[in-house]
Amino acid sequence: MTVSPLRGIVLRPPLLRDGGFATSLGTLLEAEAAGVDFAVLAQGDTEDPAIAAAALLARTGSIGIIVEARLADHRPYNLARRIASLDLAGEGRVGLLADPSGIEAADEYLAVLEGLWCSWEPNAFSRDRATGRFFDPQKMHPLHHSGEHFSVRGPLNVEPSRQSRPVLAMRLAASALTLAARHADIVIVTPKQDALLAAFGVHPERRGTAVRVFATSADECSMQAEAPVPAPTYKGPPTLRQRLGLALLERRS
Amino acid sequence: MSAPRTMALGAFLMAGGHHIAAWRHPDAETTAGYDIRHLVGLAQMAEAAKFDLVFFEDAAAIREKDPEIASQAARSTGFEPLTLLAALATATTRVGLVATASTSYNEPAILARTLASIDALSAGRAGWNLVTSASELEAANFGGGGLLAPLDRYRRAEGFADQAFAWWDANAGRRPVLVQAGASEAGLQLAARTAEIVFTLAQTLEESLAYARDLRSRLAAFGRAPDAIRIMPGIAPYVAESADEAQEQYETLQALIPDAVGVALLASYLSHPDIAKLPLDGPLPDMPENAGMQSRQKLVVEMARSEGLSIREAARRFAGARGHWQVVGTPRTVADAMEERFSAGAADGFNVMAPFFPGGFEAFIRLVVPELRRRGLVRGDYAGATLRDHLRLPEPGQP
Repeated sequence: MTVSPLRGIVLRPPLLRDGGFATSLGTLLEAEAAGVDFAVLAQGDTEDPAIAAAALLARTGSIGIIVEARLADHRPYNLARRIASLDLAGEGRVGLLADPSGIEAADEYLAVLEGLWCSWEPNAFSRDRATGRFFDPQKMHPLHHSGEHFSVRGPLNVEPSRQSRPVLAMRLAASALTLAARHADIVIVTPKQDALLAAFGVHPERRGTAVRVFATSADECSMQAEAPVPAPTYKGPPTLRQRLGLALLERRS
Repeated sequence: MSAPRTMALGAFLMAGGHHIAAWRHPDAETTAGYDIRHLVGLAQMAEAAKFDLVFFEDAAAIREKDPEIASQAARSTGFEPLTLLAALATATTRVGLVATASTSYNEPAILARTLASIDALSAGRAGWNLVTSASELEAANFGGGGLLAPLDRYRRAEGFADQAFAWWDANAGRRPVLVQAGASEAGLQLAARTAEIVFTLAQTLEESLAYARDLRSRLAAFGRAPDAIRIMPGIAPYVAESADEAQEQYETLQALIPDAVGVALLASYLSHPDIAKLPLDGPLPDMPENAGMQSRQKLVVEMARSEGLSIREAARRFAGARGHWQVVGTPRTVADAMEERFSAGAADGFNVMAPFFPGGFEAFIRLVVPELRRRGLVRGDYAGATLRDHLRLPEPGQP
């Protein structure tokens, strides 16, 4: 039995202006119907792809949406929060394509994001009207991060989504090989990056959890990865993490 | 011929409700913090009632430092407001969409781009409530260097607003509506120079009138007409067909406030953590000046002193609407109170802070809005497409 590959598409600006939203939505609905796993919303100079993502999530039902963001543009708490909030609104369909250009402290930055995304255990919110207990304080985990570049108390003020932690994607780059090995759930490679991909494959710090390697087409508007083996099975609408066969990284005490 | 002046209505939306114990009310929606459909429903309800705007406050942190107290309130988590507005934009067509974002923890061009994106998506319905952020818990999420002094925060906010204007003028061709709530001297000056809507806090007619006169008198110095700004105080209405029912609704909610939560909320707004350690039946202690919310602090202390309230009583009263103006009564009582301030020139409209959602908001729409309409105080339909159209605000930069 052959398993069909994972597929993604890339939407570029304008995503909102000049009739861009209707076009983006049309493309996304078509891709969703065709079983495409996710769309990457690429950043632009005059538009915020996170805003397009929020609107597109509201109008689609199952396709994943990965938002590109330059880490240098946002404070870590704000970006962690915005992506987590989109993921909550989108019922676990969201990812971040982290662009580390122009920032020295990307490794620490991404560690802060991951830490903030683990602020709450999945069943922390009991909402018990009778006892007046909205959540279990034992299941809240402030980050108390104090590093070389960032100091972030936490916890994140967003409840965890169905996939607990948004998918983290990165474009493969020689300057960010270790970064991708340490943090990425998805790496995106272009056709000319064979040597780099080989280096990534044997990188000593590559995470133990599954990493999906997506190869882009020549025009970089679509991408494919080998299907996870075995293909994931799940109940209910799939989260992006489930679609990609990635581990569910839930906070446990 | 210009149309008669009508009252602007904002729906200040907040997960379970504005009352601190709202989430415990049997008719409140407890899923509001994670189910976006609830908020979409509220925005559509506001639009059907022809509200000018929906409004969201914000904090980039949980609200209470003590986990024990935080866990007894529903305000620790929620949706990030700017992306929330984008989701609401796709589910509505007319209502204005206003959210809060801080000048202390954002970069001007980046925030301007986000707001312009919401404005493009909603075809001119976006508004930005500019805040400088006065919470230590927020500061701790952004470097841990502590809170800046109020004047330094406002100095940054001024430059920030100018850079945002420049970005919009260069890249978007249209500016989102600028909203502010500051009431300190620095806050008033910034509002007089830049704000198109001010969201205010005033317990009495006299206070709100004094505020409105003060703010309007400052506009000329910045080349702005006296009516270039809409003053919209918050009002927390507890309304029912009969006065008894309304009172009962209020008391039901008040009884659900745990002392620890009420006192912690009061202590946090007063930036005075020691309050919780004092006898709850005793008076408020003397207050030193601090880096937190100066105008609210003054207001609460004055209210407690003038009415001889104990710490517990002040905490409950304050927790109910977080220091905002509360009106408990029949549709006539609530409409009378609003009309009085509107006619006196103390308000151009109101930001309606329903005690719980959806029930408390639904009651306001079902009972008070028709009463206001009968009196010719609110318009029966939208007159234009953009938030500025709704409020009959001039394009910024034009006298």
